[in-house]
Amino acid sequence: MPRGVESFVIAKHAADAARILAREGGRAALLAGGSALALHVPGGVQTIVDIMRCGLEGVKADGKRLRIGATTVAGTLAAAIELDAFGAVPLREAAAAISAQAVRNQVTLGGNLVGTLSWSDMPVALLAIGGQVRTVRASGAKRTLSVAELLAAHPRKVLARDEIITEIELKKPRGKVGGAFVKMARTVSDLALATSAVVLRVEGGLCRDVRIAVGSVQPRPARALKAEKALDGAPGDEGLFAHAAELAADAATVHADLRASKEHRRVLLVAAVKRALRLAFARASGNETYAPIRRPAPPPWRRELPPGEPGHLLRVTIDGTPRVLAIQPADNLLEVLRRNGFTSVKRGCADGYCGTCAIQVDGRLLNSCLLLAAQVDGCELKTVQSLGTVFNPHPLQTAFVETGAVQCGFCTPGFIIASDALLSQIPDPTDAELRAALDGNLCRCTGYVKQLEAVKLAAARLRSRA
Amino acid sequence: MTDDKRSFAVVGHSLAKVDALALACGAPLFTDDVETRGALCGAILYSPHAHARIKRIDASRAETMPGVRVVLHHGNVPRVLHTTAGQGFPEPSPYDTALFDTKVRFVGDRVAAVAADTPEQAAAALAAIEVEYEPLAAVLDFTQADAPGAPVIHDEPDAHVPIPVPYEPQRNIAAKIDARAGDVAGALGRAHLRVAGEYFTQYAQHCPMEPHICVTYFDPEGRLVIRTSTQVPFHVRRIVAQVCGLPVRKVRVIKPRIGGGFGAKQEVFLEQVCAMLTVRTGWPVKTELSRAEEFISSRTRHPSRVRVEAGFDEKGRVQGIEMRVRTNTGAYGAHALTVASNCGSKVLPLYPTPDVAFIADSVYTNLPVAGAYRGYGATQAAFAMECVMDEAAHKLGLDPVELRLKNHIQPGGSSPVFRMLGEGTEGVEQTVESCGLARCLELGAKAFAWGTRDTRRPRQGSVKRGFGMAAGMQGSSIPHIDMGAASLKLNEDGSFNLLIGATDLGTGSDTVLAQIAAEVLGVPLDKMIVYSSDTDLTPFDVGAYASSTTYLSGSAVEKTARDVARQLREVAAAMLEAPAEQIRLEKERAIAPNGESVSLADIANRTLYAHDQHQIGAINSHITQKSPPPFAAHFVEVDVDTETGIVQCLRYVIAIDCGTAINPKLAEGQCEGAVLNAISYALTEEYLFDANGRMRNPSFRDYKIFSTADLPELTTILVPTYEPTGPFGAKSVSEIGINGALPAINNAIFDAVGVRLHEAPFTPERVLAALGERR
Repeated sequence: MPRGVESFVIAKHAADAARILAREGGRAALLAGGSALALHVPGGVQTIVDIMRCGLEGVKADGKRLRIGATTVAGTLAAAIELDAFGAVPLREAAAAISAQAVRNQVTLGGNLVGTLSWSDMPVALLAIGGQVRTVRASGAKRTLSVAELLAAHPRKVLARDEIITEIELKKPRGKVGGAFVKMARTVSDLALATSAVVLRVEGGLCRDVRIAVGSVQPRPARALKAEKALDGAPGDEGLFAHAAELAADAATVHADLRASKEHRRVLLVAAVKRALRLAFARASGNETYAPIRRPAPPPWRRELPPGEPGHLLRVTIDGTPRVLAIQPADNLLEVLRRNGFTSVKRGCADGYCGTCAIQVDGRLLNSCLLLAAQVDGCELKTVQSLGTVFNPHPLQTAFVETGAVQCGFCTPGFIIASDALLSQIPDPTDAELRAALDGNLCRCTGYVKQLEAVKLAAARLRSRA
Repeated sequence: MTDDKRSFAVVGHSLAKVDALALACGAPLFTDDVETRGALCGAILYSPHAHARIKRIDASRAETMPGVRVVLHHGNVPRVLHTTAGQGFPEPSPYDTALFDTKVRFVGDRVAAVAADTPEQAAAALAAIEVEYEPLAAVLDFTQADAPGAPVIHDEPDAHVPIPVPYEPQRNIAAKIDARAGDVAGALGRAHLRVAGEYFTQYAQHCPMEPHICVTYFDPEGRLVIRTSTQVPFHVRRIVAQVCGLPVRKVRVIKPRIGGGFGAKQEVFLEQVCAMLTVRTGWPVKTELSRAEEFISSRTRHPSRVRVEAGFDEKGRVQGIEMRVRTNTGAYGAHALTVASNCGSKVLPLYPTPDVAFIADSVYTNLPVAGAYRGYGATQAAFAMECVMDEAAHKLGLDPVELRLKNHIQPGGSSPVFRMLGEGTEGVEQTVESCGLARCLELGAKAFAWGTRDTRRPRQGSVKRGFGMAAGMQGSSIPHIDMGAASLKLNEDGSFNLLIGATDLGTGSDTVLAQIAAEVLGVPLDKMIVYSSDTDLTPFDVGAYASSTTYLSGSAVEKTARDVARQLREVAAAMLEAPAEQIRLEKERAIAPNGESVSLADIANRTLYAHDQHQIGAINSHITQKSPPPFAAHFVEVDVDTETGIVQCLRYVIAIDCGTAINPKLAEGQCEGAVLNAISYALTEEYLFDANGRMRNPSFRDYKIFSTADLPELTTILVPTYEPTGPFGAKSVSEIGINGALPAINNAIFDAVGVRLHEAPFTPERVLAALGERR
């Protein structure tokens, strides 16, 4: 609970937020998603400006152009079939590759771009796809720059202090393109060690308009121009892909980190580029169909502003009961919930990697430890206690009991609330869909077998009841 | 007695766990879910140095800061050397730990503790404590810990062992074992084939979803109450009394629901700090570890180097085994001796041979403290043993399954190792009565389609498919040492209060023990009201460790229930006018041979209100004479990407003989959890250190444990046997499942690409390096 933060502003328009940034300079921090701020508010910040309710969320296709609002989250993008026609399959795959479901439901495209870290997935995909970034400043001035321009240096340096990304626009590609994003990591949910995104066309069996981006091995993603050139007009040949991958790796400045040596990251990068090329080529030439599993798209973030100034009183409905809780502007939501007696929300790691604190905010699965309390002002929060009681349990709770899915029970509330969020979107998930949607709920007791069985059982019962 | 399937009314049924519904509904059941009004926040200052002497510590500024109630450090707390191991008394671990010492021995060692009104004030106070360190040379390589001239980590003159076992702190040796039978050198010399291998395992953490947490307060009479997330409430009571200088009677320990332990919560290191903060302030104090503290300052799995050499005759029969083990106990010696000895005692008897030698030591280093971790040495040693067996099968031209079938211990069989290795004492001679390993191997192989595996090797470019297997055993309790007890009383509606000292840490032991009592008394499970682990209310139990609860505490419950059953029959005999010994207890009734019956409620009402009024009830305890091993066969299918080195575990089958599974679903759950933990450990989990001994990845971001997305297809097969010495034929199930993945996956990697790794985890870099060496 950093002491320096005095106010929390929920902006109605991006330009309003930009004006606060202009006025406050380094004393204000922009919240676009909020996971980074919930874990750490930079020193000197007195005001947090939340742009989640500025109407910047959503994916809109109008014939030739696809517009993605800056606060559209990865979870939405991973599920957005509209992207496919715009050659943006790599962006869907990159969005799906991010950490875990609750995190995907929070990480915004704009936030991921501006706050780009070496392992950020979506900027790599966007760089390969190519697109236009629209911004607004305090003066109301708007500008458009390419994704490449935005990522030419760190975006925080490219953008003016008061400049806010409002949307990303993709143009419909000429002809049929194939695209792919490949991530190499220690586990499925881990931060990437090497990534590559590829977009290309196939004309008469030859590669055209090849765009290759590589990521995670250096501070920012980069295009592999030499590799692209080498493949222009080339056939879809394994040897040529391997050669191009080597060129891409040669051009990258590969860094080591604690998870892998420089040498190994290069190996992974070569493999990632090669596989992304292979996959993109197969898709472009129609030899492979992109057929992703269904992923739950989170409901939209609430637009209505709570009355008065947020940040000191939290006006929420928790498990169906309206509450007014006293908070400080930078209080963490998990801490606020626990200290007010909502103890089914557990503290397992407090940095967004275990899912024991998962709740639903207006139906969207989120980790409460990655939220500032003020962010959810006016929202409806749902914990596992909203679902049922020992006297009248919910089918998910009953199924968890019957299948032996509850061992120590510490992860169970988060697991069940995540399952409920999934089933509300996808009532008949397959095994693969279950595993993908529940990937953020760690459990050390069960091996997950019985939990997955429980959710399937509950899903079947809920369907037959409906 | 193998394959004995008996039918029971309650035992052997997958009944819902007694606490599951409340947990699934998010009820406030854990330590931190109940607010203790006015509780101060406890916080701990940790050493930034791997090895240093504290030259000066000045807490005067911290002590005067707002909200700060007390600062504890070596200068104001009595020095009471103890062990944090959380074992029976006297412990087989050295007394080498003080609440606060004048020396720090690893990055994360305790320097001071604070109690303040808020977490922020506590954090500020920690930052204001001035500590001047004199850094010392550190021991960071455990293979060199006893090298001449190595820095001495425990140079304090008062460190000692409470029982007579070898202890040489001046050489950084925390424990040492040399146990031999027959003539190993001779046997190996005569062998047709000798296979030797040296295998290393890594630092890993248990990662219970609930980190360690403890709340302490004085009750109105001035007794210290400790509500804590522990596996060993009775040991907590004893150790806190010892360290805080309180009589045992002044301490009460309550264990609420526990968010997982896996051995980490056998260790008693937080309760004494929290208790001392309460003792000094008079205030309630809550001290909880963050996830980073859980990694850095709680307990870990002993890293190890295990060298196995085994001899075989032409037919593949084992002719002598020598196992040499070194474990790294870290900065303190908790469990040093016993984990090392379990490397031998839980692995070597699987392949009995009269010529066997086990030479082990455990060394101090300036690294995180190792402790009890599910598997407890067997995990480390089975890795080496089962890889050596695989290599032998390969060299003998035998199927790995067949080599195990030829050699594994049989019902009625024994091993000199049982006698050679105990827990700080000599072992206990035993013959194995139940052993379903042959059937585990058979059923596991069948479910896995082991025989036709060669037809399932798809050609996928750089990705190679491999199949591997391993066998294993564990024990059930520590014979002649562990004790468990239970009490049971009848209520007027024919229900019972079952009070047990045994500690359910999420395993389901409350349920399993209640099923045993219900079976004896002929009542359904919901007539058992279970309350466990409260040192004021429940009888003693050593706690949840050593795979003991079902077997040991279960036997105590069975005895107690039989005692109560006898009392019920006696009253029923008077009511039904039939001989007591002929009365059956069934369906909540006492039934005479002529079919006449009375309900248990009738019996209760009679004895509580009407005739010969007395409370029907009993208390009884049990100590085991044996530690019957459960057995398991593991089969795994992997893909090895020769381009990236990435190993993906695709399919895993475990077939396990745990005797009678008192609750099959819970037994399966134990296996599944253990197996996934083991796969995650084999492939990714490891502590990464910098050159100064600081852990670099103390978070779930950087220390990855498997999620649903990483889960292979996992099959558990329970292979019933009947263990005559266990309650209703039961043996243990909780630990054994974790010992197979390291060797099975390594054997599968060998099967896929022809290289054998000698160091875990099998990261892509290590796989590529091994492939590179072969080329």
